Amino acid sequence: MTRLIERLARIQKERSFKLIASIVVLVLGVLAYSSLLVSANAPDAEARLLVTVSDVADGLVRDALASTPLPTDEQIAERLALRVERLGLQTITQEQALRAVERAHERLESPGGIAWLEEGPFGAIGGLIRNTTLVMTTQGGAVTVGVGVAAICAVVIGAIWLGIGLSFTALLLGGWGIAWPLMLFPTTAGFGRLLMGIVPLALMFITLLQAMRAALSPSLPLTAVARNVLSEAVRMKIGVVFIVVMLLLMAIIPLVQVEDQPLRYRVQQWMQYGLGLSYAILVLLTVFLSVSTIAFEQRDKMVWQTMTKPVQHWQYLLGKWLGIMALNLVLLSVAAGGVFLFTEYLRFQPAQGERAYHIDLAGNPTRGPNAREPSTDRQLLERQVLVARIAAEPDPFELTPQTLERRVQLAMDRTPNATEADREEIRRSFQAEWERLIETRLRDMVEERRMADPGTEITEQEVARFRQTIVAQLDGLSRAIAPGERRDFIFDLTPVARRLSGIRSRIQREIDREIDLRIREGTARAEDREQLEVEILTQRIDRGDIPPMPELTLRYKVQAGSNDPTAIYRFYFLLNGFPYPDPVGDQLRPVSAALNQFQTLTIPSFFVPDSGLLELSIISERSNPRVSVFQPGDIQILFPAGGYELNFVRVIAVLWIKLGFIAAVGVLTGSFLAFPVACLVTLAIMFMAESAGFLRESLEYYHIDDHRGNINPFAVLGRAISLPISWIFATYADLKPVERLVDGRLLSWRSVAWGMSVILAWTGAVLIVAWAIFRKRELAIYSGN
Amino acid sequence: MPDSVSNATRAKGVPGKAEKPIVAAQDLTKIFKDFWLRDRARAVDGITFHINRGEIFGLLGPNGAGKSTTIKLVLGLLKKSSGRLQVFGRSPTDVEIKRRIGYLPEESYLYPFLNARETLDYYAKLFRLDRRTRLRRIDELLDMVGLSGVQHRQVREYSKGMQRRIGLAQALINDPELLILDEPTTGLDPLGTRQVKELILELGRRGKTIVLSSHLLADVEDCVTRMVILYGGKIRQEGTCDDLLVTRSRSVIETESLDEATLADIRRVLEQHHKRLDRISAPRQRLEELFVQLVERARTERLATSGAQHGGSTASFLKSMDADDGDRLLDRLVRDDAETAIPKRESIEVESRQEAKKDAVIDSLLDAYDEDSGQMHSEATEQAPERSSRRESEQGPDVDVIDSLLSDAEHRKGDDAGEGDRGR
Repeated sequence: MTRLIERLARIQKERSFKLIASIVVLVLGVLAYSSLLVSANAPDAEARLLVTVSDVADGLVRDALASTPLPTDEQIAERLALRVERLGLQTITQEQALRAVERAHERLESPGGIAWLEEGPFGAIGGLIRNTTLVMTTQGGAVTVGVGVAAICAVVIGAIWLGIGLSFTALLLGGWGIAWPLMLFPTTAGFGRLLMGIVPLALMFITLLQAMRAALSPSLPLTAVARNVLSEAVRMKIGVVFIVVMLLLMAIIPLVQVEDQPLRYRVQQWMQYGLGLSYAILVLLTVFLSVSTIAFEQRDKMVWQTMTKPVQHWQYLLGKWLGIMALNLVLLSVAAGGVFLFTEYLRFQPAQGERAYHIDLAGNPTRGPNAREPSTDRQLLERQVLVARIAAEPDPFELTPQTLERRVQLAMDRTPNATEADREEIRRSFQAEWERLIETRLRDMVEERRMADPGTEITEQEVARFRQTIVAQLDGLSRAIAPGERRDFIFDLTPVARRLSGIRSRIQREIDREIDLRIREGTARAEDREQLEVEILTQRIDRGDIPPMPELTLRYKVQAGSNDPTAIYRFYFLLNGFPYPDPVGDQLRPVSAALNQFQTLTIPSFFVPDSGLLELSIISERSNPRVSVFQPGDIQILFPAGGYELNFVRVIAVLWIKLGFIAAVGVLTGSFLAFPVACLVTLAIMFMAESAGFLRESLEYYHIDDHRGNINPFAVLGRAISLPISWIFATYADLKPVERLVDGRLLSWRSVAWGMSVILAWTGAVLIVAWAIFRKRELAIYSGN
Repeated sequence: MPDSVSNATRAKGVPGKAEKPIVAAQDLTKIFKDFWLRDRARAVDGITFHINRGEIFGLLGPNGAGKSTTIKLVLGLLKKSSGRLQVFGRSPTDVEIKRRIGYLPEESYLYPFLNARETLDYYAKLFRLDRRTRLRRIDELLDMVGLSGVQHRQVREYSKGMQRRIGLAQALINDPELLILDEPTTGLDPLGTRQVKELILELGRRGKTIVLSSHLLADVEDCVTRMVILYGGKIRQEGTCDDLLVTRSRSVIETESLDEATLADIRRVLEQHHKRLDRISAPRQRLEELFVQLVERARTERLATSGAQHGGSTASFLKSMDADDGDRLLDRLVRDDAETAIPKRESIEVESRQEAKKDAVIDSLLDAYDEDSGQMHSEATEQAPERSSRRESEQGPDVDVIDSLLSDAEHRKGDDAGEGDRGR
């Protein structure tokens, strides 16, 4: 047996084997993709794939069991045959329908019972094929699946050329071979599913690690040290524990999800915990590995044998950092791959209110021509979660040149036949109003100051400070709405307006083309153009042949100085003067909101005019007991700016760079501190960095003096320490990539580039300090004593 | 520099005294300070020494003498407190000189999670060796140190001796010009020790400069050409082995075994010259020699071992010479030049011994011996011990010495007949 294993190990490293195996994988990949393509393009493919006879039978039997009187199996079978035919699946006989009903009974009555081929790897593969074909029926789905198949082939071929092709296959077959029988029994099914999930993750890790080792194989000190770190991580307990825990968690989380929950919550939870926990584990791994790889080498004197070779100090340190970054890249890729693939799998599961993907409980499709409205869960999932949205904040109350122009434009939009002279007039009136507001308050403040301190001259700096205070006060007042009062918030949604304009232009062009064609054919007259436009547009709307409009989401949180979880406040919304939601007759429809929780409200995009400016007016109902406050960041309008896939890639990139900063700090502390102290210091810096945003917000309310004006020296010290920390790590803390992904918010390339530049700059600075310290050290002294 | 060594180095085609030393230290001092920067320990105190190219240089001393500190100063692992120190004409912290240095520390500080092959591969890459050279050298070194059979086992599973072997291999991976060995034979069995010593000597013959620090004085004595003895951070003694070890005030004569009558005659002769015979004993074989014989026999009988195999021949890249060196060697061999390193050294020692001691007592003893030699020959020959390489070569010069003594004695018979008769 040993000899056979050795022989196989030798074979998989031979060039001829690698060539043949690669060709086989390529051919299989092409065949698989072609089959899926053919299957997806078959007539009624979508309907056929979305629903199987078993699905429909399950639904009917479930409904029947809940109805009175209880229908017979023959009656259910008759309904089944009709329903299946109506859905266009296939024609089945009464006998076949009866058998399907009996099997549905069995499944429902013995939930632990598992059909042989519907569980385990075959079931999983069957489900995967079905879902993949479904994806191909969507717009752009063929490309997505093509990329996915290519990626899988690339990974497998990569494994082959790395000399682990047969090991890869053996692990896969072995792991799943053990998992499958375990899944046949209820008591071990959970463990079997865990094994099913962990095997591909482990294979991905092994393959990527081998690839990284190959990439670091050049004969240079930098890459040699980096490669050594990889070996250390996977062969020493300190690294192995974290890696195993991460892979286990990734495999366990899907198993503990509650299936009754709305699908969007399950997807969000999976992304949050899958990526969030993986990142947390990687942070700890980075801290301990970056510190130990240098501190232990100095303690155990291995560094002597390295630094007596022609290795510069910076090469040693940079090599260590590079090795940790390489390991993090591998592990993040595994986490990202696992999270992404399972998210895609979840996407195609039935949401609440669905029997299957885009099939409602009644069995009607909710997509494509003659589609019904998708369930709320499905809509929210696809429009608010699996999307990348920009969050637009309202303009501040302060009248700056930009905000002035926006207010002027809004006023112009509402003024029919407005001229440039009108614009100028409006501008002047806004400016005058603003100055009047400021001057009135300024006068009062100056008067108050003089009364408190008579004879003292008020300096220009003081006046400027007073103005700042007044502006801040006015801004605060503009966000506070007393019962019965109204406040207006202006949002600049120019990107939405541009997109709408683009859609309209495209539709207009298509309609014009169609009209021109009809005119040329002689089936229409030129003078009837306007009427034809309306007619064609109406037909397209009826057919559902209109490109999807971007959906806007109003996201808001009400604070009222109370923590009462049962308190409900009511508001009326106006969009550019129009009530929303639509009134019932003359009655405005209020929107209810709980306190201190984010609420969302979908806004149709047609409210956004060509100027892109949307004024949201909020009226607090008189029955509300307190003043409602919308703090900065508590009221936003979100609109889609791209798909979540690219957002996902950006999120992973940011996480990787953040880990790089932590690794650099670990390298620095490990170069001159003992292991325990270095770990503590690194963890402390990491916590400071992560909590810098919270620090910054807290400092706004943190006073160094009490109400009597007595300065607290500890407060001064605390502020002195906290301020630079919050400034240094501001960018680091503001980049909350996982949160944005889970909330469906865009992490733009610009913010990624900026964030990465700042973090990389700090990383470089930390590494330079580490080098400056390390090169001064007498390595033979610090040997643990 | 003793003539023997300078002649030896000249034989290798390397310039003699005119070349700068590879390591030059002048008033070198290292003081360890505590956290408050107070002087705690003066580990090295104003030492001055140099190491020439091609030497095998010994650093001796008890624990705490400053040997390891000196080595670490040379390697740049410590910074000197004062004095001058240059290695290859540059500061010890210069990274470029480390391409030419190989270092084996007193303990093997290896990565426990790497196997032997990976360890050597890692260190080879630090020298930027190309793949082909790297693989070739790794194979040869593993074979040389006897670890080919266990090369895929992680170092953490190795015995101490195996770790020392791999440590030695990594010190040689870059074919260094200067090899620094700190306690190289620690943890090795006598066979391994023998191999290391032979390797050191061979590397020395090939022009490597070797710095050897060891507590095992016999090992140092067998290998080095020149040494310093440190105590308390200062140099107490320095010189060649001969300078330091040869006791010029006494004589040792080795013959075939003697019967009582002959011994009585010898005593009488010595008494006539007012000398005393302090000791007569049968020479002992060294334990190392016996051990080596037994193990060689066991190897021949192919007895199994799960430890390190006994090493193979010296790695070819270590034995390789450049073309000029090769031509000069061939020339020497073709010319049958007397200036080959090993024979000349023994002959010089013999001559110097001979020159140092022209004692009439020896002459008269040899006269007596000469008369009886025919009866005493066979027994002495059977008991003749095997020697180390240096001592084996001494048997040749011993014979030469006796021959020359005999010829000298015969010469003196004619001149000094009165003295010899007076002794009787």
